[in-house]
Amino acid sequence: MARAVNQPVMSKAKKKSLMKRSIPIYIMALPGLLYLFINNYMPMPGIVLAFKNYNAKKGIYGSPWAGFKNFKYLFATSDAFIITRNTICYNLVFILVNTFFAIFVAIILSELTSKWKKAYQSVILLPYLLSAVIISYLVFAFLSPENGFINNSILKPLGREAVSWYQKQEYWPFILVFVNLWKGIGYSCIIYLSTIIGFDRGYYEAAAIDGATKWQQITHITLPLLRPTIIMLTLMAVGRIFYSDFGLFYQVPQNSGALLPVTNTIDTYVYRGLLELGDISMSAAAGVYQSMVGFVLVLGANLLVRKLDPDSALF
Amino acid sequence: MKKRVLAVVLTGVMTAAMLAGCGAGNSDSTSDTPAADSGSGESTAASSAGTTAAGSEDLKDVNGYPTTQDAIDAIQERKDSGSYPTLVVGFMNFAGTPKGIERISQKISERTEETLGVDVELQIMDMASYAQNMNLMLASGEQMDLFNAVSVGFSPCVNKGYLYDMYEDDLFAKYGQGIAVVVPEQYLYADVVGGGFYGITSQKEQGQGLFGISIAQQYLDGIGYDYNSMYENDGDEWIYTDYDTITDIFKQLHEKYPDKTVFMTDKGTVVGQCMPVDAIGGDYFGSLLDPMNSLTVEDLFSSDQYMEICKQMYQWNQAGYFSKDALTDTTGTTPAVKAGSLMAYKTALKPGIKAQESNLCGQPMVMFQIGRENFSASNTCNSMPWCINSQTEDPVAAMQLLNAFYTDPVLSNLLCWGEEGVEYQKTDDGHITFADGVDASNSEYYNNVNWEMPNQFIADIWEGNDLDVWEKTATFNEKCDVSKGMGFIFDNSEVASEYTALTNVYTQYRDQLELGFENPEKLIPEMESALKDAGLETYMQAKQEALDAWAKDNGKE
Repeated sequence: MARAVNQPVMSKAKKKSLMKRSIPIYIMALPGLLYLFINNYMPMPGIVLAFKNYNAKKGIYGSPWAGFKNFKYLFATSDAFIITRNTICYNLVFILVNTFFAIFVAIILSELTSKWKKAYQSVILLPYLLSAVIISYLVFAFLSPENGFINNSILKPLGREAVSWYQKQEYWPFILVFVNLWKGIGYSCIIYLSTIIGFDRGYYEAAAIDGATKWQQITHITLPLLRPTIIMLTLMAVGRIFYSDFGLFYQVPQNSGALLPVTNTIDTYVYRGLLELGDISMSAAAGVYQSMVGFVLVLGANLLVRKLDPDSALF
Repeated sequence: MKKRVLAVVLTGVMTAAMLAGCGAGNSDSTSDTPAADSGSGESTAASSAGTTAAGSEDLKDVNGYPTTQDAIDAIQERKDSGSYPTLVVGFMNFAGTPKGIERISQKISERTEETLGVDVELQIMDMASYAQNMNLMLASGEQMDLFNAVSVGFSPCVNKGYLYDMYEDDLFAKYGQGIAVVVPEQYLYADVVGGGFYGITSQKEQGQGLFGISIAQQYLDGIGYDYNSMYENDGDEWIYTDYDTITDIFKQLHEKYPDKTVFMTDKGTVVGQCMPVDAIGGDYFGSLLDPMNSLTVEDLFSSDQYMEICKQMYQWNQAGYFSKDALTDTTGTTPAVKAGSLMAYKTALKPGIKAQESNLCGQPMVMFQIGRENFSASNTCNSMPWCINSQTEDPVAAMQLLNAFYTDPVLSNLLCWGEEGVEYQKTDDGHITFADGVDASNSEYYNNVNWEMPNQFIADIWEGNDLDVWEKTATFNEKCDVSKGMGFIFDNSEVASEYTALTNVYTQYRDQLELGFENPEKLIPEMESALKDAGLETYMQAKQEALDAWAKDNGKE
């Protein structure tokens, strides 16, 4: 899918032989598809849970219907606005910032010829492989009011007063965006990098012969060729715009209550509220709500893309 | 074209993955079905059931506890039949199924075959999976005759109809007479819900001494503080004192040891462990502020009591006694003392606490209590009751086995400590300890959950504890102020949206206030208005109505 460069129209016979040649590839994909079917499609009827008063003894289908009652708690309270705003706004910023920097780094890496290239790549990827709990303590090592690096080794020598980071809301939108970028950039960067490496070197050679500078090559060859990948990844991110990275919003602020107005998202709200309640139907309702909105947003965004640039649309 | 089809499928898969990824993960659930309200007429039976069997006073069982002719007949009948029914008993521990479980089941069965004519199979699961497994077993009708409802939740179990009503067919009166002697009456009937007798609390301390402060002895000695003269009586475990005295000690500690944190408290325990306030129904959104005398649900957060405790914490925090990291710190208090970074912390008091905390901290601790209130909250007895499964095939045998667990020291020792000579051995002074070559890491049966066992009071006492710790505990239990709402459980599914919103608000303000990081005069009004927005009044009203109905059914007020 990444190779969305305009392909010539194929004849029927050619198509058939291509299909034949692809059979081994389909077989290779089979276990993965089976996994997806078992793990992701078979449980889908469980959606009805969101509309039931779940009772373990009566089972999922035997439990009485509850209508939309389970959804009420997501909208009925004063927090509804805050958690929706936080979830969407953070995700929008994440999409913009992460895409920009991932492409930026990917292009730099692709232009590098140093023997350290592989090492750079690994180092950038490393944070992505760390669990949120570990990241939260790395952040804590910087921000701890008592022993943190920033308070003790930066602010103190500068003669500035120490900041109790975990009590001050105003800093956290920036901290979270930064941490998310640091954590996620390695992964999206690799996707862009692998796409760039796949480009036909002929374009660049031709451009170089015509006297194009590096900058011109980037803006006129790399970026336009990258467009379908960018659009696809962005569309997928848009589909998840109603979800938040639980670890980022719960663990990284160390679950500090004082920061709730800027760190509470739909997921953390549901988690905190239902931790003791343990109501399966209500958590299912939150999941259904997030998926539905995500689904509609993907369709909408794709529609928009198709209007503007039919070739780049996902479907 | 194919590319498009594939893309559609992929998008579908992604969306489905999102669906599947969420939602899951909650193991137990509250149901909407209200408890089977079988009418209020039976409630008076609660107080008389204990004495129904009065006509058979002279009958005693093997352990010398009163029994009935019905019970003796039932045992004889099982023995005569030649085949003993096997009863499954379930509870949780922290380490998962112990290696020696079959051997211990065998040992228990040897005893119960002789005394009751039943075999016993233990099922011990680790805490993380216990609730989920138990819910599945109960829902699917798998055999599980007796179990502890800890972490599964007593209230959900009642609501879902999983529990056997021990009033039915006079089950308790006929076969549970030993329990009626062992468990004090004010706690025995605490798990009667809607006229049904669904659970029996384990024998443990049923209350707590409020506002206990534990200070490491080495630092008190370091500032030359004379605490020895402060004990009221010889043999007291803790010193009764007041807020100002403790503040004075903290001040001296802080001056002498400026690098160490003076004081620390586990988050979210300040109200529960310092104030005689009952979180009736399981949360503080509407509490009993005068729980011994009144069943009026009031708002804790606007009360003077709450302002007072927050101010006290604020004063300590501003004086520098708390760690600046306290808001985010999740280290336990006792490991911090052990590591040498902390000098004092708050704890709930109970007999044996001094030995327990000194063990945990790896050094002698001196215990203080601000005020002298010992309080038993309404949820004390339904946090870990023993219950009979409503689907058990032989409720009589299950009741008799439970009765034996509460009265037979042989069974209690097997449940609590394992087999003598294999897991543990007796010491010369009457304690028990690990058998030779055995320790906590290689013992085949070392659950360390004796508070969950039916009756640890009749088991042997492990080294390091006073030999009379259980007598002291029994006295302590008798002297506790018991909440009037003891035994009330609240089904909040009708106000679940308010509950989620209130929990989120409380999380936002709780630690800043209760760990003294912000001035309560400023912050409490802010929290108060946020709670009101989140529906505090609706929630409190629902709770009050449920409580009133419960009080009427149970003849309180």
